[in-house]
Amino acid sequence: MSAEVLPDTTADTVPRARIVRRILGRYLRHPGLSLGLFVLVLLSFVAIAAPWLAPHGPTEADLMNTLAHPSGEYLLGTDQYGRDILSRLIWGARISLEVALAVVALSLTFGSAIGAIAGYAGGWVERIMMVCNDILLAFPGFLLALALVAARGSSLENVILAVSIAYTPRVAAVMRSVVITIRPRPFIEASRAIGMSSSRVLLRHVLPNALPPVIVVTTVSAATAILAEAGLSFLGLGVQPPTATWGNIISDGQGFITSNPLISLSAGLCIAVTVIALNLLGDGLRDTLDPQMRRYTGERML
Amino acid sequence: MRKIFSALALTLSVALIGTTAGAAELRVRIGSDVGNLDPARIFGIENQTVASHVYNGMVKYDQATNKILPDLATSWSVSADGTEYTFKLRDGVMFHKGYGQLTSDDVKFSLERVLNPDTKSRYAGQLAGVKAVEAPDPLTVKIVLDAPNAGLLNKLTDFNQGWIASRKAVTEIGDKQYAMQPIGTGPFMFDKWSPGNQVRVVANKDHFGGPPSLDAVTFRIIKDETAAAIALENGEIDVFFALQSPPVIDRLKKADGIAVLNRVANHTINLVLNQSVKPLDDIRVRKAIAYGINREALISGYFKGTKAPGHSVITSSFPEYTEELPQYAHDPEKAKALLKEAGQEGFTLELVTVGLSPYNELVIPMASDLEKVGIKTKITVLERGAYLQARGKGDIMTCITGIVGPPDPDSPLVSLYATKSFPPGMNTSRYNKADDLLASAAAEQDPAKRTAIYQQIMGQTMEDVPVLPLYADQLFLAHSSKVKGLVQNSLFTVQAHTVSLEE
Amino acid sequence: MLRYTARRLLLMSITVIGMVTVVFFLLRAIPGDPASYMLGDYATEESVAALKAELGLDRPVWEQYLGFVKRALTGDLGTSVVTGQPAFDEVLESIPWSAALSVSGIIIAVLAGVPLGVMSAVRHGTFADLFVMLGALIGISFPVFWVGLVCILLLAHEVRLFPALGASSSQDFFTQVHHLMLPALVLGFSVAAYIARLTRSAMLEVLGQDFVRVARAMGVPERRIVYRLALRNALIPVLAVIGVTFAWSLGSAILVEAVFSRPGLGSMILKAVFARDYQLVQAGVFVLASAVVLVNTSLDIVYGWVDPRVSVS
Repeated sequence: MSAEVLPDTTADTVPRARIVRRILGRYLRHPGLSLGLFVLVLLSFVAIAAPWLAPHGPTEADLMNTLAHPSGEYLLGTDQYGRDILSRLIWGARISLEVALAVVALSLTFGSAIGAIAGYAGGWVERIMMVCNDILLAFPGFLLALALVAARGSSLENVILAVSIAYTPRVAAVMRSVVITIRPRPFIEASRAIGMSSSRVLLRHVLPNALPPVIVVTTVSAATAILAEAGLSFLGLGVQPPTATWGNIISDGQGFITSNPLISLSAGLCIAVTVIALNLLGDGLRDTLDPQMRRYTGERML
Repeated sequence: MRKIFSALALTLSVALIGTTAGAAELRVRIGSDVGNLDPARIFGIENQTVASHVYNGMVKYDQATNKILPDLATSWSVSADGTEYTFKLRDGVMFHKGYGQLTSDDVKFSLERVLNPDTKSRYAGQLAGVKAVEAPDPLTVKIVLDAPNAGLLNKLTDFNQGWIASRKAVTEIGDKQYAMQPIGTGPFMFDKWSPGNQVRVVANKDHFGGPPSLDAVTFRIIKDETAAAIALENGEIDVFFALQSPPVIDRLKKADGIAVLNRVANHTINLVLNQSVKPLDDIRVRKAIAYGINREALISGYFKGTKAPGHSVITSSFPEYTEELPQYAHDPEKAKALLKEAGQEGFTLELVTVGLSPYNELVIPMASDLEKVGIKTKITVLERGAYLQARGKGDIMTCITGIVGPPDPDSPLVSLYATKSFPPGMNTSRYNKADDLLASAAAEQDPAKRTAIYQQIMGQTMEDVPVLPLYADQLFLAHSSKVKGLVQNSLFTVQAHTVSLEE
Repeated sequence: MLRYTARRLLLMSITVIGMVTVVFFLLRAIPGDPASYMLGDYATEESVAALKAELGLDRPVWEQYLGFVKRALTGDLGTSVVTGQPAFDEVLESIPWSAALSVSGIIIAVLAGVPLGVMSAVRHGTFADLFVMLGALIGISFPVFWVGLVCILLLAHEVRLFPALGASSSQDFFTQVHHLMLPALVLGFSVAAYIARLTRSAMLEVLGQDFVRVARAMGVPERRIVYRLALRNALIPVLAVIGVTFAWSLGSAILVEAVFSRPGLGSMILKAVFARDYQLVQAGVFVLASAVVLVNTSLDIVYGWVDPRVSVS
């Protein structure tokens, strides 16, 4: 399958179910992709079922049981407030996935809109938009997110917003470079020739065809978002305590890394597993979707 | 190849500081960067620690006993009505780096500079009762007060506004630039500041108190306490200043070749309840909060016994300390009953705190305790600048505050309870029933009677609880056994004048 | 070619100006101004207003911006409101620290990443490939500050191989290098992982192209194909990516500096953001932006020389 979605008129010549089965089969045979997907599904389940899965409340302090080592009641021990580490990790999955999901949604929407308009419009519009985009791209993304959070105060919403703004230019850059290569293709010219309006061509043909590589980039930006949230929390600029996030758990445990290393280590591992899963998914999608897209996505992933 | 290497070394050393091999250099950990060493504008324990090496005051606290001793002034007398203080200055004290001899004019300049509104000194209030500073001759300083103030000497000790700068130096270097080019009379001279990395002071061999045995002190900026502890164990630093984390304290106590010192500080960490916000105007609600928060568990559980109980805002390092005051042992049932009586079950208390450890953390167990007695809580952690601004407006419900300062009872009592201390200031509880007592304490020249008045104030304020002391801070300091002669003070600083290093 | 170079240089200046502008306005949007921060506990409305007037913060933002641009053009980046010293001086002090960390980190990354990536591609599908790619996946997936923490725990605390601090007060070159090693390795590891992944996919793409197949068919030895033909072509995208990596490593450097208590531009900007020291943040971002854009532009120009297709399109 190429990245092109065939025009509607020819879509029905092959039974749809067979196409779906064929595509699904190829995805699932890719070991990295299916492993990544499996881990993410599992994590989503944990995140959704957190209230039922977690043995304790995520902010329930028990000052009589601070810094307890693992036991039957506290499987991974407790932190300096006597909060159950395992429960906090489970609830933290919620926040981390929420951050990842929201950043993907925001940067995908705005990034592909900006990139598509710039790429499709061409000329001066494209040049100005891309100069602005390059300015933001030249910024170390993490530094930009940090400045934005400092500007707006640290809260879950602001962390999401800051990371999205910092990573939208990357999505936009990829979208534009894909659109440029799609624009001159015959089926676009044909649609124009039969009198379709620009916005209609953009929405119906250009966007759907350009999406696959952009999806790969956003998978990676989801991974980056999780790392950015953790980094901001580590510097004291992330989601406010006592909310359980993996980043907060690492910085909570930082002072106890020699006496109770499990606190920071377990949260770090949670982050790594999620990010690995997202990267596996991204790699898998890249391999199974149009192999040509590597060219667009490779350089812009950071 | 060799050329490339030396070129590389040269590039690297641009940011670094020269050290003479074999020199006795003490390396002290500080938690964050310095930024302003101007006595009129100084803030933060890191700046104060560095400045305490560079400057002297008219008088000083004995590091161990907190008794007031002569420093730049060798003697002083008080007029019969208690409004005129005359100080005799030590002769032949020289400012660093050739800025000349200390005279009464420098004292006049330093104190007037703090008082001058254009300086915008945060310590102007400390010298508020000073009507005039006169310099009748080069070695005599006369301070005239509006009204008798028995606590004046405390304001002139070697701390913040009490540090004496050189008129010539401030004028020649420039009012703003002086911040990082301080000139004092202290045992060490300011040498070099490498931003983000370290500050270095070198011995003042001509110091009037005798030359220090060290050649230099380097203050290394190390934020993380675990990293600092490892550095101390590895011999990368000699003194671990501002040690706070309970597990790190515990660990260093067990380590070989490391001594851990501790001392009760001059300040408590308090929850300030703003009486101008409902329902905190109701004394029953305030008492319910006091009974509801499990302060004992906070000290034993969270701080692992590294803090002392706060019975009032006056800690045991003050001579005026007493425990015969209204107590609020943890009692959830009583808290619930008081809330019911006040008809305020289920109101929301906003806990506002600054985003610095441990203040952003200790609100967590407090909130959890309060929820259990039926007070809903909302935790707001603000970055320092935003926190100061919010507190300055005076409409936040609560805040977490500690009055770090000298062992002068006026320092916490006036700052927290006097009407004149807001706005601007720290009386964000808007307490207004202690003004008369505070005034009579200041006028009282008899130390015993003065202490009695202070204790009366402590009793009354603990009955009304506009401010709930959460715990009395305790200061920890660790050093390697190579360090000899280090005395821990109850101010939050460390001073290396008497320190020597053993190989 | 010259036109291409000129265009890149023009774009470079626009980018630097743009970044500084963005930061200028972003800072003014931060609640909590330097005036109330500096005055601390005893700030009155009058004293805050007076200090604001003194710092020029009471004027409209655009007027402040024009003044800033005017002064910046004469090389004056302002005076730090906290320390009273020229902001540029403090930035200059931080540059060698940042440069040493970033450059050594990237050197480590290139030295490790490119050969591993090539090996992975050549032995595509073998265990060696799997092993390298797994390592690279770990490198890009673990938070860099967490890796730093673990390294301190293991290499400075358990086995005392490296110092816990990323900077030394000693002037001795080798002592400084010893202190730099752990932070540089931690930073280098994550960048190396990224470069290895990229080199591998670029190599695989080139190895699958027609001219390689033709060369094979003509009996050119495999070693020659890999190192002469494929690697040279594959290095072009890798070269371009080093620029992106450089910007990214400066972002990660903030975290590495924080973990290892090391001075540098990142931690200086972080400190200045907290203190609302506008001038210092602006000066820091100006230098950082210039460095990023300079590196990217020179790489773009080199890229243009190496691959003529770029300047044409």
